[in-house]
Amino acid sequence: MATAPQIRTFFHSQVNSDSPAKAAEAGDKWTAFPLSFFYSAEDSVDLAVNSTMLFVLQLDHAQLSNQQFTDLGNAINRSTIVSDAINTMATFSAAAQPI
Amino acid sequence: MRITILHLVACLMFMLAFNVQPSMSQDDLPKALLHVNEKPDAPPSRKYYIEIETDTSLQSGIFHSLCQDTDDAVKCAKATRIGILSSKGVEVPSVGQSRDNDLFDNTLLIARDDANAAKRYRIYLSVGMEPFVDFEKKKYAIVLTNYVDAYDHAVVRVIPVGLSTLTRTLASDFPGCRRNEFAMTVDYDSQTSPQHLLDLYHYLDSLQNPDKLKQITIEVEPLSRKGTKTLTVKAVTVAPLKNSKGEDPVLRGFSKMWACFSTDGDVPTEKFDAKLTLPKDAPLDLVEPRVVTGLTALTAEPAADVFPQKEKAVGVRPIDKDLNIGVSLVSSVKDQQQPDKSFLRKRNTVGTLDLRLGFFRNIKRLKVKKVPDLLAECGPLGDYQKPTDKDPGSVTINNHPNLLAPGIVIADDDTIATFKGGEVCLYYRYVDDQDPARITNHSYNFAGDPNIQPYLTPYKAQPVTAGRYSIFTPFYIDAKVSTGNITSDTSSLNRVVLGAQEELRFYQNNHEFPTYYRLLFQFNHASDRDFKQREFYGTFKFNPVFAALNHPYDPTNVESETRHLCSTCKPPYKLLPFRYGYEFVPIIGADIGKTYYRHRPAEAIKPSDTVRRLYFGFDGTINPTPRISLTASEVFYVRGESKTDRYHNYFLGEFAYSLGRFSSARGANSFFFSFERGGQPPFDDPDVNVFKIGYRITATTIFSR
Repeated sequence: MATAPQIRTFFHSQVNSDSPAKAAEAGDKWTAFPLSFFYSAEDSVDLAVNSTMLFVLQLDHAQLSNQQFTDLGNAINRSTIVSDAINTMATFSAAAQPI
Repeated sequence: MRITILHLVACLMFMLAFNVQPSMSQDDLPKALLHVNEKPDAPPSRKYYIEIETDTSLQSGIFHSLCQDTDDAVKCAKATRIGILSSKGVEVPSVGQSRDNDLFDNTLLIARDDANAAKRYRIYLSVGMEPFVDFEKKKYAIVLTNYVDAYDHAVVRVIPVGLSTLTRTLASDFPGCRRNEFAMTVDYDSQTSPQHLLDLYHYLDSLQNPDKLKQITIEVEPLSRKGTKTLTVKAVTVAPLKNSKGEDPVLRGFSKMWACFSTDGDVPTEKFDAKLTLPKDAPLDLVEPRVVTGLTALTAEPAADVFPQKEKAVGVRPIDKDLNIGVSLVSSVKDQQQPDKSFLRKRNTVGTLDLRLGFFRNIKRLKVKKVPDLLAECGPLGDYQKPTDKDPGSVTINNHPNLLAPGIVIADDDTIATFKGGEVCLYYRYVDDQDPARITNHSYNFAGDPNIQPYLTPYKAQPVTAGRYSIFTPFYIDAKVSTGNITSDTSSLNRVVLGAQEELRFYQNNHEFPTYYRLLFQFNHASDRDFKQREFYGTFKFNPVFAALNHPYDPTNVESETRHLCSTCKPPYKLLPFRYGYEFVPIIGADIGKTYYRHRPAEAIKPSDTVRRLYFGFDGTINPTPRISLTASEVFYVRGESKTDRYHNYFLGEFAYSLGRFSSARGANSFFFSFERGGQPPFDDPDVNVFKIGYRITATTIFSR
């Protein structure tokens, strides 16, 4: 299952793709910023987190239930610091069901 | 005279609140206290020190193998250590070499005043470590790891580092000072010498001298605004007060002295850092900490709405909770005119049930349109360090270094030289299992997955993240019903609406301000309290939200700036809300509905029409500054249900300006005007043409402290 350092790399690509100007502004301290720095809407945060999580699950040959995705969405919001969001995603990655 | 009865009362209160602390006794040991090095010729590497005092003597063999405190700032050459300084449970690493300005040697030295008692030790800290800044957060502790006492008992002990017996701090909410004043407080205990206390008190007192006053500045940096602001001190009051004969107070009777600074500007109304600069002759005890972080903001009156919003009608109120139920009973007497024109005073009692219920409210489903096969890092190409077969490399793109696993070739050297400084994209699929993870060409845990080589290309727009959000409330009830007869006054109180709602948001991209399309489907069934008139209506609404037209004003949309006064603090940046915003959302919608059952309802209930209408328009809001809000809403209706009154339009424009705060932020005032013209569904009432203008002042604490 993907670890937090691996998810950090994948999630940076997501953030850099979604919000390149803000990613450049944050530089290598990007994990210390809240997600509200990169996204102006809660839906966008959910979309970014889900997209990265689905990529991770694809690599891990695993899946999360709908309920787990809902819990993941509830656990991460715009006020979440990026590093905490990455750790949360790593926790859910560890709990994924292999397929 | 500024020293008033208020100050005398404050002084007395503090005599009660801050009792004389008991003297330190042997029972308080061991202890570790942080001090400012008061030696005028102390090198920068010895600007501060922590003095450790233990309750038992160190075994003489170990004691004699320790380094002694010396005048020179040299690194201890001996191998024996009895403990270390830790911060948040982690050893503070040693830095630099002997006589370096940044030298920090994490070694406990025998203090000069130990006098072979083997109980007093010292560790020096450099000026760059700024130990007083965020002292509480740093959680310094001395961990005795090799402390064997004179009785051969091994002692492992963690001694939290405290502040020396005399500490100075800066506050914006100190109760001994007035609102909008800064307080510099000096806390001390009974170990401090009376003469030293008196010297400090005299110094504080001397600050009232106009020449010295001019030299005091307080630089403030609000944590949600750009830059810093320097405030000049206009007046100082000192406490405890002298007695009526002008004699100094007995300072040992207190545990605190303080000075209140009035400045030429207000204390910031948001959390802030501050740097207090005293005249150059200030005693060292009063100089540190220079920068105090995260000070409390001045409580400020929020800008109030000039016209309070009315509650929406039943059926259009938001279902924002699973259950929202209210029951009331109102009993009142009222004069009622009788047929003979006389008045009869009658008591009327009405019970009301107000119910909003959402079953399985807001069931959210998110579907990402397509999971990418490859991820990309795009942006200007920066430094490139080529990986070798053994060592990893890195490539910086868009100000972010991406690590490359050993042996990974993303492009040949000539190509990279050509790309340098230009916009590129690095495509990859896999990372390895190192920390930090490095981009590689194979799966880290599934050998059967195909290898995919990462590659660098000139910039090309990568696939955007898109998706669909569904928010479904399968059933809700919005009702207000009351007892008694339904009259024209209470018809709105006797409506029961049952409904279901589905909202779909199609995200075309997931940028900082995304473009998405919002579709709302609503089906409602409405009736009176007795279900004698029943109607249904369906609503469809479409709002395209274009990124270019929608940057709403929201204090949580932020940009960053480095903290000026405390660049080493965590976080080292501050988040500044965008100070402007704009929204422009077109609306297209349709309503359809009809009354399908009517059987002798109360006279006050009007028969409702068949509804068939189409509408389009826009909602717009502009906030050129946080204080100004301009909103406009225009809707044009095409009414299929009426041949005589087919077209209608409705316009509402509002301008609200918060004129700001006054009286040291105790009061706020705002100005408002609006223009409303036209009619809105259900078009029962004549069209309106209303101009409103208003001004409101609010001040929660203007007459009270």
